Amino acid sequence: MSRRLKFALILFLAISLGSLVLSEVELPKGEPGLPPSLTYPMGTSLDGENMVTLNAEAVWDTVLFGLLSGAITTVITSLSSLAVYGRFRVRGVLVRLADAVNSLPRLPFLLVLALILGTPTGSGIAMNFFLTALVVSLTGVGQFMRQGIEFFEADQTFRSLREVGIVLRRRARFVVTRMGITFYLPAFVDGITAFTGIGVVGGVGDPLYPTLTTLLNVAASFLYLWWIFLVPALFRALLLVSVLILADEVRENVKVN
Amino acid sequence: MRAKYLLTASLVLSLVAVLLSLASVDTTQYSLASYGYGNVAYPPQDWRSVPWAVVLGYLPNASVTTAGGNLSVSSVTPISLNSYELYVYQVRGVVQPYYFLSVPSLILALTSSLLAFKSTFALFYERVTGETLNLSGVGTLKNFLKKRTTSYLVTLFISSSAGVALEVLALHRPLERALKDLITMDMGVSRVYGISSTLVVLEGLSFTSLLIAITFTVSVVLSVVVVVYSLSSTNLRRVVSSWRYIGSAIATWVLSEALIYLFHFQLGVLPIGRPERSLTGYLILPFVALFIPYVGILANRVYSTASIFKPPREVGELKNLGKDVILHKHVLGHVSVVMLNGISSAFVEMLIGEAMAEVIFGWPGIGTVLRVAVSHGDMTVAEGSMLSFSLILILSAYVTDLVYGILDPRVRR
Repeated sequence: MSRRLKFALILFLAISLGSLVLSEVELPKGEPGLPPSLTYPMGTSLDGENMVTLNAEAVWDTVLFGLLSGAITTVITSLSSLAVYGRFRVRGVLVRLADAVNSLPRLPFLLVLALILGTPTGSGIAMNFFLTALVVSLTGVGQFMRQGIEFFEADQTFRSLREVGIVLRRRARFVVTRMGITFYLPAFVDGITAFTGIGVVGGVGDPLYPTLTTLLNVAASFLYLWWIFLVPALFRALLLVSVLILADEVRENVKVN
Repeated sequence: MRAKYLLTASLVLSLVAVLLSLASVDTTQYSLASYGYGNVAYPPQDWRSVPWAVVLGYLPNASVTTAGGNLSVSSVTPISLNSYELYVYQVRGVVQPYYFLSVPSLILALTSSLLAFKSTFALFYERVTGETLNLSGVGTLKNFLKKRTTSYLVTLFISSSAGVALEVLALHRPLERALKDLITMDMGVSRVYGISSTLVVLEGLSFTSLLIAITFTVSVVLSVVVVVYSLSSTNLRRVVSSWRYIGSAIATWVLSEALIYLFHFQLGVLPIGRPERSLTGYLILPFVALFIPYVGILANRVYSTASIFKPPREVGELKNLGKDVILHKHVLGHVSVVMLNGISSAFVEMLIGEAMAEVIFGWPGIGTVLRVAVSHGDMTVAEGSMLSFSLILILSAYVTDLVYGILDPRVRR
């Protein structure tokens, strides 16, 4: 394991697991808008919440969002890559489908979908966290599908269901492992980035699952309180950098046969 | 062709793009009136088709004059009169008459950036090798463009179909009406602003085009300079090659928040929000917030592409060429062509990044228009924005291909 990989892995696990533990701990509340001090190391929010708890919850929800959208994207990409072995012109159809999704401008398209699936609140859109992850993944899957399909040239076609079974047994593990290594972490980052986009521009978020984007979005109206936006921004930066390094290192160092 | 002429042409185009966008955000007073006889006073029929500067916060005012005097009217709606009488219904306000210049301004900004990208590389190339840029080649531009046009028409069809599908499903409009709206680019009346959604989107786009016309070309030129110097400076090279991580850490909108905290709230030197008198003060912070990350992003991409083309050291020795000649002729020469498509996608990415920065700064561009629209359930504006983005996406890719065809004769084959 390279030093960079070790560093990124430790950083990612420390941020994710640390936030999971801290989000479950009851920390004292205080006066609204208190700057960082010994009692409140990250200050308090505008309604007196301890910013340690808020940041921890937000980091964990952001990680959860990334994990979900990474999983959805990888599964769809893997399935579409397996479908390349089909006897019909599946490959061509999938490529056109991926191109069609890619040709739509993602951010405004996502916002239109959020408007249909969510509820406008006057300052943003309230939309279910899991539904958002699904929609974000589906609109971003085209770029991964396109690359995934290019990976596997169709070297055989199915003539019967028995052959489907044989091909799946022989190739599925290889396809899924390779797809996972190549696409899971980039899809994780892509999911968070797209969610950030619709969060910042459209105020899309789930009040039950506040993410780092939600915190930063709220902070945009109170930018004179530096601890409200700088600390979440720092956590977001560390999280994304650790995942990006992990993705690069895994792709370069882990080989699938 | 001499690189300096190409660079001059790109600067002129860039200047024209800025002037067009400045014209597109220009405002002036306007009024229109209708008159009639009856017990209800109706506003002028086409008042919703006037480009009232609503994204700047100037909603039109209405007044009704009858023989009995002036009636106060809170919004532009039909007004009941006490009896049958003659009336004059006047709608007054501030308009953005040249809002439509925003689209040509955006396309010119992209074209000038593409030319600037190629010519900045060519300028370094000329200095090192003493040779001038060769733009002649085989194949006709017409045939090349014919092929590309077909491909873009397919993309346009897909985007338009998505627009029509959304209109039918989300707005419950009949298919014929949805098709007609698309062809006439009329998405209907905005629920928030009360005027044509197309006008609202284009007015927002004017402010977006102004910011991008100023920022994009400068970012492109500077990124080329950074890449050329980073090839001979280890420290600069380190920063450029790791910008993929730094850029993710310092996203445009995060930098926007930090800049507002420092320069607006702490030092109190720069304004934010809707520009009131002079535009310059309001432009500085969004410019910096976009410029810094994008120079890094572009430089990182160019540098990564340059790494692919870097030949082994023995090639230079075998061909008896100096390190600089190998670098500028064989590495950066290829990069300057291959990366032209990258500039087009960077342009679209900057539009998205700018939308986020606009929301943070309160700059009245397409980002702010989208924010207001989705927060208040204004589907017509949201959909209009999506279609405008699609159109810009397709146009920018088409323009890139055109410039690509002119600057690299090999692709015309």
